[in-house]
Amino acid sequence: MIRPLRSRHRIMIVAVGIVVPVVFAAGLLARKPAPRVPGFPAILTPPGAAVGDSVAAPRVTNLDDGRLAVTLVGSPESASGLAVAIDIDVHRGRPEWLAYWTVADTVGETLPDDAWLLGALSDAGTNILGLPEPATAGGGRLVIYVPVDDRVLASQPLPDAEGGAAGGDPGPTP
Amino acid sequence: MSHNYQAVGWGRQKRVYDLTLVGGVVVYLGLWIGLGSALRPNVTIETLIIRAFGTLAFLLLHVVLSIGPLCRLDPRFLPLLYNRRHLGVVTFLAGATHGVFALFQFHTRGDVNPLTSVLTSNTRVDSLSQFPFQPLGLAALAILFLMAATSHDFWLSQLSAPVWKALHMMVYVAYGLLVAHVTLGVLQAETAPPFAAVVGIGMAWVIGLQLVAGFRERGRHLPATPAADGFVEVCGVDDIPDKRARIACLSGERVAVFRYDGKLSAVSNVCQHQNGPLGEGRIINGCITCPWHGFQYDPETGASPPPFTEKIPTFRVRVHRSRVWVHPQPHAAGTRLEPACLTSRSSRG
Repeated sequence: MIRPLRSRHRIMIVAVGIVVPVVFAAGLLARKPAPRVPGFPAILTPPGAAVGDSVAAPRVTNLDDGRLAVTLVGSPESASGLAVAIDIDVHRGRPEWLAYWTVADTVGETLPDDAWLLGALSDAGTNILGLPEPATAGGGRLVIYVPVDDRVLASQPLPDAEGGAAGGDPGPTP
Repeated sequence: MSHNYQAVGWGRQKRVYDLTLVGGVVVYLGLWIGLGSALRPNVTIETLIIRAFGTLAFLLLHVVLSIGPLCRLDPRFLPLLYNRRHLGVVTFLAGATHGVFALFQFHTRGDVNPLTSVLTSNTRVDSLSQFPFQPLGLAALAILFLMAATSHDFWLSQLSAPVWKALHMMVYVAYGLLVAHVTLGVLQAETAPPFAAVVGIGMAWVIGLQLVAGFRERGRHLPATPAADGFVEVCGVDDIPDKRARIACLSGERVAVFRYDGKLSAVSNVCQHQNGPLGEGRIINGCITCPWHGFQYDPETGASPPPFTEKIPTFRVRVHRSRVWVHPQPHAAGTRLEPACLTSRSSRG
């Protein structure tokens, strides 16, 4: 009555005893070292890292659990001659944030179609991102976008190159 | 037994067992999440939960798979066996929690059904390092669910013990799938040696224990040669302790010969409940009592005492010159057979 079961059990144990260690060893041997990237890919770090003097005073946007400080700075290497220096002070472990620039006066819940990608924001230090050619005179808005949530986290008007812009405001769903 | 069914027949032993189990689970999860958030503050709570429940399920499965062979090697582990099914259900629940959180974390942001996404988002079956490991976990979870859902005695009775046992033997397939899930999943990213070492030690423990128990079992109960009248010599009378049994392998099946009240009776060694080894049990209140879950049988009839209805085959026994002889032809389950009486003369030989 129980003999076939015992036989099946024996076969099962032998099979597990052979196959499982082989899979385990093969899996370990197939491991590849995790790639280490010294910085963001070039497409996410457009020219603009060389920083000149501040063009306008820093603007601060308060978020739910932190703050975002943006300073317009001169940047000879960027297309517009300007860059934004972005300091983030928020809880670590956030999903990746992207910074955009748009000429729009207001930004809703979704990213404007004409927004220019400036680059990704890292947690470490100040992020210097060059502004595109249309931003030569300053102005427009800086938009912080969260791709994984597909939402605009915050937007902040940028000052004119001469330094005359309004204060920041959080996005629709900070 | 078969008289009626309750969701769980609670007793003190089961309460202690389950309280210990729940306490251990809570402590494990608390330690994992607490230490994890302290040591790796950049890891999100969702990730900590996924990993805490995943490792818990994997650990519990190792415990579940160790109990059987440990009991074969040392009867002192038998108390762990009584509620092994509760342990199995908790293993499934931990695995299901891990799976649900992983599903939400990794597969609910797209426009594809999350379960479809698990099965179709990665098709790199040609690469071990990028192998679609999540479907392996899903398959293991499906097996654990099937086992948890049929763990109650109701299903054991409906399916019959051999079918139920065959179904629950799928646990080894689930184990293999989970080792592959872990090795081709998290161990591809977590390359620090201690992680691989822990999985490897666990695997060696489970497989080694099963092989050692099987090897030792193989040496026992070797089949004997029958005499001209068909009876087979099993052992000496004095080899069987009072209210205990000696197991012999006759015609490929195991027979338990019990000694009690100056008599000898032989029955199938297989309990009707979960095919437990009756010969490793003892006579309690005049009944053979299974060491696994306490199912009882009359040694002369092989029938459970009323109102229970389980029956096991019986075998003819005789004593000649202090040697015990058993006929390998089983009688129908529940058939009364006269026991062999041990007189002082037969015992002396």
